[in-house]
Amino acid sequence: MTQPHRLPEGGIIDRTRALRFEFDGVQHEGYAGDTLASALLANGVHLVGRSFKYHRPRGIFSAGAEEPNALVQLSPASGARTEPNVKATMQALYDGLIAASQNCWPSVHFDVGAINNVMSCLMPAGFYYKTFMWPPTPKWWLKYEHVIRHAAGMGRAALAPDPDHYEHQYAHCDVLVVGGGLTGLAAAHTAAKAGARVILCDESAAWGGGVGDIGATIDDRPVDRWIADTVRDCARFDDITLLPRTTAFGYYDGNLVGAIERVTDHLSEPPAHTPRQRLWKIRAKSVVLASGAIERGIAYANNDLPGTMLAGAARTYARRYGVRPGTRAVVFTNNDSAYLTALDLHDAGVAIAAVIDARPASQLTRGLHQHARASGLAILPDSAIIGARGGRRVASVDVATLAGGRSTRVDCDLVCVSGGWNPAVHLFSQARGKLRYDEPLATFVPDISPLPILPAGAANGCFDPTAAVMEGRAAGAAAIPGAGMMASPHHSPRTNGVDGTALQPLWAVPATRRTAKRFVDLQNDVTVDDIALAAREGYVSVEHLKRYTTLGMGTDQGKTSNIIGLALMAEQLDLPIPKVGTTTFRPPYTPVTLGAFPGHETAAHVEPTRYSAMHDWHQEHGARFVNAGLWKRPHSYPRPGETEDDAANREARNVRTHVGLVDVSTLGKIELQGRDVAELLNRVYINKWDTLALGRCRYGVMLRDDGLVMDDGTTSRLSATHYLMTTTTVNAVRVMQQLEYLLQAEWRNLDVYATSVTEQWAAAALSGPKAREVLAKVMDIDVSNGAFPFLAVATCHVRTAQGLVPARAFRMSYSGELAYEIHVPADHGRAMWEAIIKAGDDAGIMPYGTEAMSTLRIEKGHVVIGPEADGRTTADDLGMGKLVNPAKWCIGKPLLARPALTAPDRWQLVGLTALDGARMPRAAKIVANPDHALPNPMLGHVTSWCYSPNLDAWIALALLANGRARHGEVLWALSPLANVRVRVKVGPPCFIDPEGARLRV
Amino acid sequence: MSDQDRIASGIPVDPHAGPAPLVLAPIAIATAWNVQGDPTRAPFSDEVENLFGVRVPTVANTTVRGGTLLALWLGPRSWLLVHAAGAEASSSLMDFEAKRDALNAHGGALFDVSASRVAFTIRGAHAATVLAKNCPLDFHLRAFPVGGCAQSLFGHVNALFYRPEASSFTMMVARSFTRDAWDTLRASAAQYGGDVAPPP
Amino acid sequence: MLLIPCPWCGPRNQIEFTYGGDATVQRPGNDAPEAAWEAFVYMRDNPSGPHDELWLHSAGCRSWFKLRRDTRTHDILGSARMGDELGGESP
Repeated sequence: MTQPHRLPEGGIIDRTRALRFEFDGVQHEGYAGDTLASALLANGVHLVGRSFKYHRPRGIFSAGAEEPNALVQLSPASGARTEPNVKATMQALYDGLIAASQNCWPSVHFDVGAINNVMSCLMPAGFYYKTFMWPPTPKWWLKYEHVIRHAAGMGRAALAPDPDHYEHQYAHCDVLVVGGGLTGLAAAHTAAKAGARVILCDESAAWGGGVGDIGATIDDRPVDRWIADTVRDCARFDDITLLPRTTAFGYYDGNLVGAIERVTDHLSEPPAHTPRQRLWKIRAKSVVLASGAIERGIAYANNDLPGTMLAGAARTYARRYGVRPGTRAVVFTNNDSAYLTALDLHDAGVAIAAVIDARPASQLTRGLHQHARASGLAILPDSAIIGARGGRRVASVDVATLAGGRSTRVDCDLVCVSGGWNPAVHLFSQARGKLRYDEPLATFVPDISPLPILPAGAANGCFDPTAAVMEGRAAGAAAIPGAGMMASPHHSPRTNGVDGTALQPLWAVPATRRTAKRFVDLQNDVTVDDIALAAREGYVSVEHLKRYTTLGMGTDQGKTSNIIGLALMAEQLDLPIPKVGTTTFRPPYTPVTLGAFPGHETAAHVEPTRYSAMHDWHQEHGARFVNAGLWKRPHSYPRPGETEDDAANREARNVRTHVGLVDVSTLGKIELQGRDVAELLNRVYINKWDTLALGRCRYGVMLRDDGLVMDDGTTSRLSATHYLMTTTTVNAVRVMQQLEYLLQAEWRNLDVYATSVTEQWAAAALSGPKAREVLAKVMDIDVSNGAFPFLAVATCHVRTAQGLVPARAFRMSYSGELAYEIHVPADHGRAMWEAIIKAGDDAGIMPYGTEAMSTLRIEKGHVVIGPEADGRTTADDLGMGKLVNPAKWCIGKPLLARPALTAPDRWQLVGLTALDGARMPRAAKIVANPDHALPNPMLGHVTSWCYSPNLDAWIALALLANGRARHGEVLWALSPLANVRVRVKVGPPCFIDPEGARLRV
Repeated sequence: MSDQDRIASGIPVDPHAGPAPLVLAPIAIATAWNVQGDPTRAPFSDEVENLFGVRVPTVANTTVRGGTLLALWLGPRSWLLVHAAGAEASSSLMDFEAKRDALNAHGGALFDVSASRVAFTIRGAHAATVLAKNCPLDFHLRAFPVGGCAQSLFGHVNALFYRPEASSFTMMVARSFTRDAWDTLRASAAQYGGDVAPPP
Repeated sequence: MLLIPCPWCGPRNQIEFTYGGDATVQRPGNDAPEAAWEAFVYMRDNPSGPHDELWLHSAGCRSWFKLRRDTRTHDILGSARMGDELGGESP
C-alpha cells in the first residue's frame, strides 16, 4: 500500500486523504482526486483486463472517456449495485472502492480464453457471419449462439433491480458551454459577464480540461492560477450553473442537449435521498462546443501490450495525478505534442529511451525538438516502431526507419504513442454540423452547421492555449442572445492550430511478419489486416466497414480508432480520406446508465394511476382492482371464501334480484354551454338532438369521419343552454379533443363552449328492481315513476352524513334493470356512496365491480367501444342502424353508403349461447365446420363472453357474417390456441328483457 | 382518509434545513369556476366584470387578482376563477346557476370545477428546482414572473402553476392524479428536506 | 424533443402537445360528394420538406393551431392560430 509509482509532489490529488481500494482482490491505496486508473498506475498495475475477441492482455490506454481497454467490473460482489464496463479512467476513486477485471477466466493473469489468440488465424473479420450461417436452418444457429454468448461479452450486468434512484432536471439557458477546459471557461465567463444565463458542464470533477495546456501562461498568469481565478469569477454570477462530473451526451431537436450528472458515483457513502445520477435536459438558445480533442494512436505489431499508452495520457498521469506511468519510456509520434510528454516524463524521472519520430530530421529543428535534445533525449527521425515485445507488459520495441532496413531493439516498460489529435466533434455532428477534412491536422474538424452550435478551441482544431482562450471568448460573445451569430448557417473559424512543425500522417506501420497483429480498434480487436480483408471482400462503405469488422462499436464507439480505420480504408481504395467519410456520430457520446432515462418513472410510476373519490372505500371493503386505462376500478368485492368469479356472479345476480351500486366516476364527462349546443350534438351524433327537452337525457353514437363507430354515451340537458355529455372511459380525451378541434377550427361560428368535468363529479350507478326504494331514502326529490320517468334528469341533493350534498340524478340504465346514476362533486363522492349503501341495507344492496357490470351488459347485448365497436364496425353492424337520422347530416354520414359498408355479408352483432353445457372459449373464431381443412373459413369471432348467473349458461356477443339472418343456426366457436371447440347457438344479442320493460317500471 | 389528509400527514418539512426550508403543503380550494367566452366581445367581458368584479386577463399566462378572487388565464377564451378556502372576505363565487345563465345570455359560459383540482404550495429556495425536475417549463423569474401562471406537465400529469411570490409556487393537478403528483413531488424534494423517501 | 411555438404560450416542450394531422387538407362541405369525403379522409401527401400540421397544446392552453415543420430536419418554420395564415418564418 505504498504507491511506489507516485511522484513525490505535483498533481491535483489531495495527498492528505489516502483512500483504500481493492482491485482483483489486492488491496491498494490512492489519494482523493485520483481516478481508479491513476491509482492503479501509482501502484504499478498496468494489466487490467483481457481483450474482447482474442483475450489478449490489456492495460490502461488513455486518461479519459475514450478508454477502449480499462473497463472494469465495479463492486463485483455487491449484487444489485455491480456495474460492468466502468472506465477506470473516468471512475473517481473513493474509499472502499472494489473493482475487478473483465472478460477473463479464471484470472486476468491466466485466461483460458486466450486460446482465441493462438487460433486467431481462424477468426478473421466476419468470422461469425461466415462460420455459423451453415447449415442454413435457425436450429443450428441457436446451438452456436448459446456457446458464442457464453464466450463473448464484456462484464456482467446486475441481475437484481437497480436499488439506486435517478432523477431528471429540466434546465433552460441562453448559452450552454460543453466542456470546462480553458476554452469553455473563457466562453462561459464571457457570456455570463454579459448577462446571459449560462450553464457550463464538464465530464470530469475538476475544471481546466485537458493536459495540453499545462505550463501555459494565460493573461500573464500561470494556467492553474488562471483556471482557479476564472472558475471563482464565474461562480459569482447569478445566472450561471456550473456542472462538474456532467457529460453532455447528445444534441437533440430544438437545441435540447442531454447531459448526465454523476451525482454520487464518486462517494463511498452517498447521502440519503440524493439521486445517484441526474439526467439534465438542457434547452439552450445556443451551444458553445468546447469539448476538446481526443488523441489517436498508430498501428504497429503488438501495439496493444499493457504499458502502451497515448502520449497525452502518460503526460496527464504524470502532471495531473503525480504518477509515473513507467520507468523507461519510448515515445512514438508523428507530431509535436508528444515531445511535451517526453519532456514531462523526463522531468518526472522516467528514463526516455528514445523519441521515435516518423518525420524526417530536416523537420525536427524547432524549439521543442531542440529543447528535447538539450535535455538529453535521443530523437530517432524518419523512424517507427515496427513491433513491440512482451508478455503481460511491454518489455521492448523494435525500431526501424520507415524506409526499411534492420531494426534495433529498445528496452522499455512504457510506450507513449501519438498519431495526432481528433477534435471531439460528436455533438457538432449530431447538430447536423458538416465536417471538413483538415490536411495539416489529418483529421475531421467542424465546418458548417445550420444550428446555433459554435465549436471552439481544440474541438475546433485549435490547439494553442492562448488562441483557444481567444476562440472561447469570441464564441461566448457570439453566443449571447442578440449577438446575431445564429441568424444564418455559420462557418467555424478556420484555425488549424498547428504551432510548429506539421504533423505527418502515419496510420499504420508496415508489417514485417504476416501473423503480427496491428490493432486499430483495441476494444473490438480490429486489426489493420481486418480492414484490408473488408476492402477485399467489398465492404468498402464506412457503414459496412463498421458492421463487418465491428470497428468503432462498443462502449468507446471508436473514439481512438475510427479515423485510423477510415484512413486505412482510404489507402486500400486509393481514395482521399474525405471521400471515404465518417460514420454517423450518434448519441450518447459516452454510455448512460439506463436507470437515468426513466428517472422517477419506474415501478408504480411508469405511468400515473388515477383513483376515484371512492377508492379508499372500495379498498376497505375488499375490492380487487383492475386497470381501466390509467384508472384503478373495482373488479369485484370477494367475500371470505369466494373467488373473484364467485363474487362477480353473486354481484351480477343481486342486481337482477335486488339492487347493486357501481362506481362509474371514470366515465368521461364533458359539459357544453351555449346557444348552439343542440346543433353541435346533431352534427357529432348520428341521432337527432334538437328535440331533447330540458331535464331529459338520450343515448347517442358518434362516428369517425370514415363512418365507423367512434364512441357512445349519453347527453343530458341541464338548462336551456347547458348540457352534460358522457363518453366512454377510454375515449374521454379523444372526444374532448375532437370537440375542441371542431369548435376552434371548423365550426367557429357555433356558440358552444366545452370543458371536461370528469374530475369534478364522482358518479355511482344504482341498479336493480329495488333501486327506487333505495334512492328515495337519500334524494330530496320525488323519484316516483311519474315524477322521474325513464331518461329523466334532475338537479337535486343527496342526504349524506355530511348533510345535503348537491347532486345530479339521471334515470338511465346500462344493466337493463331499473337504474339511476347519481353524480356529486368529487369531494362528496365517498359520503354519497356511503349514504346509498346505508340506505340500501334493508333492500339487500351490494357494491358491484366491473366484472359484474360486464356480465350484466353482455346479458343485455350492450356493445362496448373496443371489443364490439372495434374500429371496423358501423352502427348498423351493431344493430343501431335505425339510430342514424336520415333527415340530417352528421360526421361520418357522407361515407356510410359506400358498398363495403353496406355489403350483405358484413359481420353483424349476434348473441351466442354455448351448447352441451360447455364453457365459452375466450377469443374464439366462429366456423361452420370445425373439421374443415385448414385454413378453416372464418365466419366471425367472439367479442365478449361470460358465464351468465342469471341464465345459468355461458353466453357471448359475437360479430358474425350476415349474423342477423343466422339467428337459430348452430355453429362452432373454435379456439385453436386453447384446443377448444364448442357448439354455439346463434340468436339476438339481447338475452334478457328484450322489450326493455324492466327499465320503465 | 381524504386526499387532503393524506397529503397533510406527510409534509417533508425539515426544521434544520436552513433559513428557507422547502415547504410542501396542500391548499384548500373553496370554489373554482371556469369562465369561457370571447374577450374581444364587450357584452361578454362586461358581464364577467359585472358578475365577478374583475376583468379577466387577456395576456397569455397572466393572472388578475380582485379581492380574494384570483383569475388565471387558461387559454385565449378560458379562465379559472379561484377563491381560496378560509379567506375572510365573502366571495363573488356564489349563485352559480344565475351567473351561468347570465353568461350564457351574453355569449359566454360558466362551469363549476371546484372539486376538479387539488392544489399544493411549493415554497422555499429550492422550489423552482424541485418543480423543474418534472416540468419542462422555464421557472426563471424572467420567463415566469411573479403573478404569472402556466399550464404544463408535472411528470406525466397535467398541472397548472401559479407564482404568488418569487420563491413560492402553487401547483394544481386533477383530483384523480393527486397521489401520483404528490409522490413525484416528495421524491423530488427529498434531497432538500427531511425524511421523504424515494419512490419504491 | 421539439420546441414548439404555441401561438399563445410561446415556445414549449413537445411533451405538452398532441399531434393532430395534416393541416393542408380541407374539410369538405356537408353536402360535398362522396369522392370529396374519400379524398379528405384517406388521401394524404407525404412531403419531404416543409409541411403544415395541426397540433393541440393539450397540456397547456388547449388551443389547436397550425405548425410548419420540415419533415427532413425537424426544423420548425412557424406557427399560426386557427384562422390565421402560416407565414414564412417563425413568429
